Amino acid sequence: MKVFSYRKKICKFCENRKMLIDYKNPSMLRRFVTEQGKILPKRITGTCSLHQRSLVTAIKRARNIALLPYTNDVKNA
Amino acid sequence: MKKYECLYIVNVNYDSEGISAVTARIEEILKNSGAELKNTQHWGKRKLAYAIDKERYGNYVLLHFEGEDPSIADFQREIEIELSVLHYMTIRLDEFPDFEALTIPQAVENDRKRPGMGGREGGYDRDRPRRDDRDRPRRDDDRAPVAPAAPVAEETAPATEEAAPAVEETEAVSEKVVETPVEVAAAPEPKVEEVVEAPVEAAPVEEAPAEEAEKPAEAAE
Repeated sequence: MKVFSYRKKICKFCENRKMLIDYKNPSMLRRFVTEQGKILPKRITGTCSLHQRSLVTAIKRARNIALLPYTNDVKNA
Repeated sequence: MKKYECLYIVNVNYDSEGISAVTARIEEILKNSGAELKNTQHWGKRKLAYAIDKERYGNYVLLHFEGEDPSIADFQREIEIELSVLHYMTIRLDEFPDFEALTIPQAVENDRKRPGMGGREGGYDRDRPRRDDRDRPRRDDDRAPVAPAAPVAEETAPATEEAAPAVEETEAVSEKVVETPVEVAAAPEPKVEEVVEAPVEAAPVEEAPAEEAEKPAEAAE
C-alpha cells in the first residue's frame, strides 16, 4: 500500500502575525482568489477557519469598492 | 461615538481642482451631519477592477471619522446624491489604524498581461527592448555575421542541423562542420550539392571574425 505524506499547510496569517487581513490591500487578497476571481477554499490555501472568515469578508469588501474583480474573463481578457 | 472608515471613488474626468472641490464638499457634508473627521488619504488615480458607470479608472479617497448612527445615515444619503462619486463604502471599525503608518496600497493591474506573472508568456512585447539594442560583449558582436548562414544549413538537410549551431561556437568545431557535408554527400540524397555549398560559405565567414577577435587580444598584450 502506498503511503502518501502531505506537507502540513500552515495558515499564512497565523504564521505571520504582522500580515493583517485588510480589504484595502488587493495585492495580498489576490493570492486567495482564483484567476477567475473566485474565493479559494481554505482546504487549498491552508488558511485556518478563523482567518478564512475575515478573509472572505475582506475579499467581498474589496470587490464592492472595485479593488478586486467579481469575475475575471480569463478567455477573452 | 463610533468609528467609521469610508472609501469612495471620484470620477477621473474631474481635474485636480474638481477633485479637491468634491472632497471638500464631502468633508463639509460630514461635518454638517455631526461627524468628526479624523484623517483623509488620497490614493490618486488607479484602475478599477471593473468598470463603474463605464469608467475604467477612478480616484480613491479614504476617510476616517467618528460619528453617531443618525449622522452616518445623513452622510450616506448625501454622498449617494453626489454625482462625481462613482462608488463608496463605509464600514464600522473597532479601532482606528495608526494614521501615520497608513500606506497607499499597491495598485493591482491585470497580471496576465505581464510576462512571468502566470498566464500566457512569451507573447510579442512591443515595449521590450530588442536584443541587438542591448550592450553585449564583443565576442557576441563578432558572431553576428554567422547568423544568416545558419538557417540556410538547416533548410537544406536535417543532417546538418547539429552542425549549424556549432558553427557559432569555436574554431576547432568549425573544422568538423566542413567535414559533415562530406558525409552527407556520400548518402544518396537529391539535395547533396546544395548541402555542400551552404556550410562552405558559412565557414569562411565564421573564420574571419575569429581572426579579428585574436587581433585585439594581441594588441592588448
